[in-house]
Amino acid sequence: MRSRIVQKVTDQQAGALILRAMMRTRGLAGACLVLFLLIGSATAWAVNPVTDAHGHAVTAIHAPDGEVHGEVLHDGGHAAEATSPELPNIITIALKLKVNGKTLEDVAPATAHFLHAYEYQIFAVFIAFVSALFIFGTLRLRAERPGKMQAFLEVIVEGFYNFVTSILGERGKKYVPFFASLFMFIWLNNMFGIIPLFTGATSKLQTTGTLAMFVFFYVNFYGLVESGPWAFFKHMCGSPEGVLQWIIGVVLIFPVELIGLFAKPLSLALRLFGNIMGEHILSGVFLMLGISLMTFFWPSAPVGIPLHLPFLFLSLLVGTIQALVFTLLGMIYLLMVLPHEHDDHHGHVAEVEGH
Amino acid sequence: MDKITAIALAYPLGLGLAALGSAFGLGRAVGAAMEAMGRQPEAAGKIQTAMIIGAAFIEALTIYALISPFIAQATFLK
Repeated sequence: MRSRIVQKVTDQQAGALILRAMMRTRGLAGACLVLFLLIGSATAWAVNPVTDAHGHAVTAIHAPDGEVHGEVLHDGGHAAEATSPELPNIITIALKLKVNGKTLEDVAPATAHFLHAYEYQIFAVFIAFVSALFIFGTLRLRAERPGKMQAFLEVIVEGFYNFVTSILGERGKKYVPFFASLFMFIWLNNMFGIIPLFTGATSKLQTTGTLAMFVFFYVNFYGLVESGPWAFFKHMCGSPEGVLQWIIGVVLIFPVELIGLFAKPLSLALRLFGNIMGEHILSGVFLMLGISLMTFFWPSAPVGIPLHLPFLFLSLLVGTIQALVFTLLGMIYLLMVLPHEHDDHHGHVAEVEGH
Repeated sequence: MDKITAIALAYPLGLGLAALGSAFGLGRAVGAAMEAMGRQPEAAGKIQTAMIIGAAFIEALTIYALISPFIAQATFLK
């Protein structure tokens, strides 16, 4: 898998190399962090008037769900105003920014409506382009003359390869591209959710639901193709033998398995969505708290106290773990529907029935 | 008690209860995994993978409690 020269680099050495590179750029990283914090609180400041008409600090930076929110606002006052404060991004800033007392909606209502309705989709497409750039960047790489970039990418690819094959076995080779791109897309989305002025599409149920549906169709397609329709059905009935087991299988186990089949993508989607949305709201709430505190001491402060700093690190952790869990569970579901692998190393051990 | 007050009371309470249950479950699962890793350090990788899967299933329960008001928001507040 790895090219000849890079083959000598073990995983530990690669880790040390990455660590050394990180240490060399720590000044840059620190500057980036401060910049992040300043931009984060300053943009929240710019988007949001500090106090509303009644003198209360406004808690909602941004209410993403246009329709629901609008309806509630019409009859319920500002009840739903505080439901989901999130960090502002380029699009919400563009929508709220006033130039000569006019917002974008006054100037170009169609564009504003498009931006509002497809805010997260625009970011999803942008992130997909970012990951596509990586693919175009790899076109010039050759195994004959590996460089640093190639060594770095090979470590990542081999990591994915080992990860997938450790779950699915050696036959998992052909599933590596799907699960690796799934992981990369979710992870990039989660990471873009932390960067100020950007947001990740994984905090929307639409995106996570789509990803979970991808996994659902992919897994069941390969389950059907690899084991055949009849074996797939038999597996769904709990691999029965004999008339009594068949009756129990078809009547009792098959409906339960069928429900389980559709519950899996649902739980995948809800888990990722809930985690990432909760994380965004947490950062948003603490950012607003910092701004409120700052205005308490210095009413015309241009930036707030970056109270959301600890939650940025928590977001890094949660984003990575959730991307990993989504991919891992997708692989487990695939493992469940694939026919059981014969263990060739120990002279064809009898196939274990059921799970 | 109007609807908003009822939700404001019930949502944190229900979420707290769900989190309590998940915390017990996670404590047991991670504790057992740690013990197993301590006994068999060579199998740590496999145990860790299984632990992460189990933890994901457990914490999903809290996540359901967290997001169900958001999803049902439109119906609740009408």
